[in-house]
Amino acid sequence: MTPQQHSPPQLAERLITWLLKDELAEEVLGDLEEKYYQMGNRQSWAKARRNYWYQVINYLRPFAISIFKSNNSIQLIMIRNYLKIAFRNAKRNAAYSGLNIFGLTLGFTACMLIFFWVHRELQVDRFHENSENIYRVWRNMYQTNGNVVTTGYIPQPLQGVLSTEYPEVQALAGISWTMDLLVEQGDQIGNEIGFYASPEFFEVFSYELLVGPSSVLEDPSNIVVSDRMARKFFDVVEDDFSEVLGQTLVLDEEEPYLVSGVFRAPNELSSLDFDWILPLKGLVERSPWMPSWDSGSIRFFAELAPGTQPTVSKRIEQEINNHVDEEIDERLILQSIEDQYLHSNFDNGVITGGRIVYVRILSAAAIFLFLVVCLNAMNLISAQSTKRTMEVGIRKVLGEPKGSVRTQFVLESLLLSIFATVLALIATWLLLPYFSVLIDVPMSFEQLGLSVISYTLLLIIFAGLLIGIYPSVILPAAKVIYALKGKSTHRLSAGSYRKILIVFQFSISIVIAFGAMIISDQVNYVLNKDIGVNKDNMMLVELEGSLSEKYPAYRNELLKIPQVKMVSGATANPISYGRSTGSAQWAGKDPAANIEMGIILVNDDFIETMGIELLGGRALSREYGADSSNYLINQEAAKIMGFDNPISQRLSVWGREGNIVGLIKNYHVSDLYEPIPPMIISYVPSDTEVALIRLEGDVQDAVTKIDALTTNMNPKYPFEFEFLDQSYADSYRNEMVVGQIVRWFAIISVIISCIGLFTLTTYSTYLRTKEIGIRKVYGAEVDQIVLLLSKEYSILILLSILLAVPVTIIYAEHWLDQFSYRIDIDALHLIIGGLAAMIIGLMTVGIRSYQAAVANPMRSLRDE
Amino acid sequence: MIETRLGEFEEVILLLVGILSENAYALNIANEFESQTERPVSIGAVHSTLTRLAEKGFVDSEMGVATAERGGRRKRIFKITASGELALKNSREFKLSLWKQYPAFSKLSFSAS
Repeated sequence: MTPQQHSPPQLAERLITWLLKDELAEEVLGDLEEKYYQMGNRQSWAKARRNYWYQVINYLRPFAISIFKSNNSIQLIMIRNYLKIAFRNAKRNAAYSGLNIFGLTLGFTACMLIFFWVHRELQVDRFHENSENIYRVWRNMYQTNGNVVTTGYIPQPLQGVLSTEYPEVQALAGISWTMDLLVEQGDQIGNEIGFYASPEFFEVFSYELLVGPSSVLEDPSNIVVSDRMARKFFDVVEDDFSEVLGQTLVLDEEEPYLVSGVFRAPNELSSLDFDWILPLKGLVERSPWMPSWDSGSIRFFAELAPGTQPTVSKRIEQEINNHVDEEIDERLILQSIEDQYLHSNFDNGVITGGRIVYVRILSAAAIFLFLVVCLNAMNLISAQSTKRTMEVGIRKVLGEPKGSVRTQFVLESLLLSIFATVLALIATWLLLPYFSVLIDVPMSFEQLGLSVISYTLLLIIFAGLLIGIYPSVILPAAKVIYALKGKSTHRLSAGSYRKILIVFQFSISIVIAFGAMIISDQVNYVLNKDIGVNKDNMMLVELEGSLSEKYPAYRNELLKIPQVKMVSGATANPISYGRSTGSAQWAGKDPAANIEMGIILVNDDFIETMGIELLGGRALSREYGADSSNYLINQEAAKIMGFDNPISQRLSVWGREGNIVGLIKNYHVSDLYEPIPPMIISYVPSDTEVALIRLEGDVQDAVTKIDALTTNMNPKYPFEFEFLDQSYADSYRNEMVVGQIVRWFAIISVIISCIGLFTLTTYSTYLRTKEIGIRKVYGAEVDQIVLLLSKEYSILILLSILLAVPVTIIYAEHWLDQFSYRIDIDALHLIIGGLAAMIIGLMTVGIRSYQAAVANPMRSLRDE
Repeated sequence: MIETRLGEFEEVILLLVGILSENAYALNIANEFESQTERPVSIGAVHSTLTRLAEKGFVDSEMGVATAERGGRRKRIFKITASGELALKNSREFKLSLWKQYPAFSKLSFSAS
């Protein structure tokens, strides 16, 4: 090889050229290059390259590098001068700078926390390699009454249709509902969650299969477990899971399953959570009702060939209708898996939002807060910089061009934002653990990684530019002659500009505060609303394993505990319920109509135990022998059926005909986003899956006793229970969390706005020191002066409130409209909030004005 | 005030400058150092020492001719000055006198060198 084909590493060469003193460049670069070719020819070129770097780094010595010797670059000298002046200024006005940095840090910290959270939310489910081509199938069921019910559970036969008739589908994953299974292996026992899945599961999704063949989900006698679960049930040495293969696990006290594979447990960015997967084939074989187009049981995720989504969407829409003869209308739609986490709410078959609403609310709050913070800093700097017109004048007289003065002020604000950002990063780092507990989402700096740095850099640059705009534009424009006299020529215009900023930032703060108030009002309303069920002191115990069959005995034992007043049972939690049927028939029903009605299967004493109000007729009980074909309905159902008096009307559900024996008051079956559906209550004691226990007195003690009793009767299963009021409140966690965060935002933005107001008052009283002195000499009272000084700002605050109210109302109405049951915006609350803002603002202004007013006029008049 | 004593590394480099005479430039000195002492050294370290020696007035330098293997760049040739030679001589005599005071070696003759 000839030397021409090789050349020293360019980056290293550029680095040394850049850093080296100019006068040394020729000899040093010459030496380095000669050495490079020597080594390259005698040894190897790779070695030569490495050596070149080594030599370059060894040249980074004080004698050779330009920054250690005086450099004649004028920019460098000026920048050094700017820095010096910036530090002197900051030191001279320590209180100002301190307040400014404090405000910026506070605001930046809040913004960073929110942006990190938003960033994480947007990452969910995007770790799948082909996430942009994976679609989830949803099923819209069109009701005769015009409603559309949307579900993700699709008839199982769609699996065959999609895999054989759709060439665009490259892989298809069908997943059952997520369930809790009792897993046993020797002494180890525990409840684990997972689901049944079709063979191509690991092809569609990027969950990592650690060991096991690709056909891992074929044989129904196999089970695939997560690494976490494998470690729990087997001895795993290091990370070697191959030993686990072929071992057995007993599920639900039935036959043993063979472990055929181990996958890495889903990370927190996966919306599916599971520790085991069983082959879907097994579930279908055991459930004869499943392979029918009339029922929905499987969630489908399809990986489509790129760009084929529109064609598939069109074709798949009528797939259910094409296979069902009855008069129903059910349409399938596709949703990208990247959207399913944040956009999970359906309103009449159309995706309307979900978590994204909260992402948007908090992003908006964070952006507004960021603006408030920057405007505030800008205001402070500009107020302060008026004192520096003299400096600018002298600089200009000495020949500094405008652009260069501008650089100075931008640099200063950049310095300020860098400093605040560093502090905010530290604060964020300290607060992140608490924040992730608050929002119930695990977050850490490690996980954020590079994005932290890029966010921070963006924040610094953006904030620095934003803050630097005003002083850098206005100040250098001042006429030298005025500037030297220490007068600013632009006082009027600058003053009104600052007023606009103050109004703007105060308005934003008030909007955020109003928002916090309205969210917490709605949350309180939801939590305290009478949902038609007495949910206090109501305990729900899952009847697992054989406990369901032993329910009568269990109930008797429970009633022996003194705190237990009543016990009933149902198929599921009655206030978080989704089961429905389209099979109800009654006299006068339009035979072609397709009406979906909620149905809940209950045991004795259901109405009494739950505290549901009976409006007419009687409750269901074993005392009336034939109650298994008798029904209760709610008011909504009565309305739809068109009965004025539904009692004794005939009703058939799932082909079982009987009488309506009672009418109950509407109660909320699910959350308040949903309207109350028509409900049928059916007496089917054999389907009791949860026990509903009404307690009174010492609840703590009762829980202990019920625990002992349940564990005694059902030793293998861990005791699991919930209290209805708690689980009800938990279902509004999102709202509560968002309310809390917005409340913090409101506090922070009010504090920052007050800092701004305070410093601006300081500034304006400073400008009027002489005026105040003269007024006092002529006999003005302190209160008159305070009034005079505060008047200007009071008008501004009032204006901000007036601006904030309509903006708040528009946004709040939009948010509240999602709820079927919502509050009206309380005018009184707005007034109280506005008054509070007014008082806080006036106090801030007043304190400063008072200080100025009580000052001895001798002092202010003396200096001339 | 300029420090005029020689450090150990400085002394070796100064000697090498004298030995290499016409070919005394940083890279060559570093290579020579490596082959004579079998200790690795970077060109930068040598160059830094040469600069220090120049500040002390022990070496002088001028740009030499350009060669192709350096991409047409010239090299800086260092030359030992009179005061550099004096410093070497002083250093040697000082050490000799120390050696002579060392009883175990006092009988040996160093004149051979």
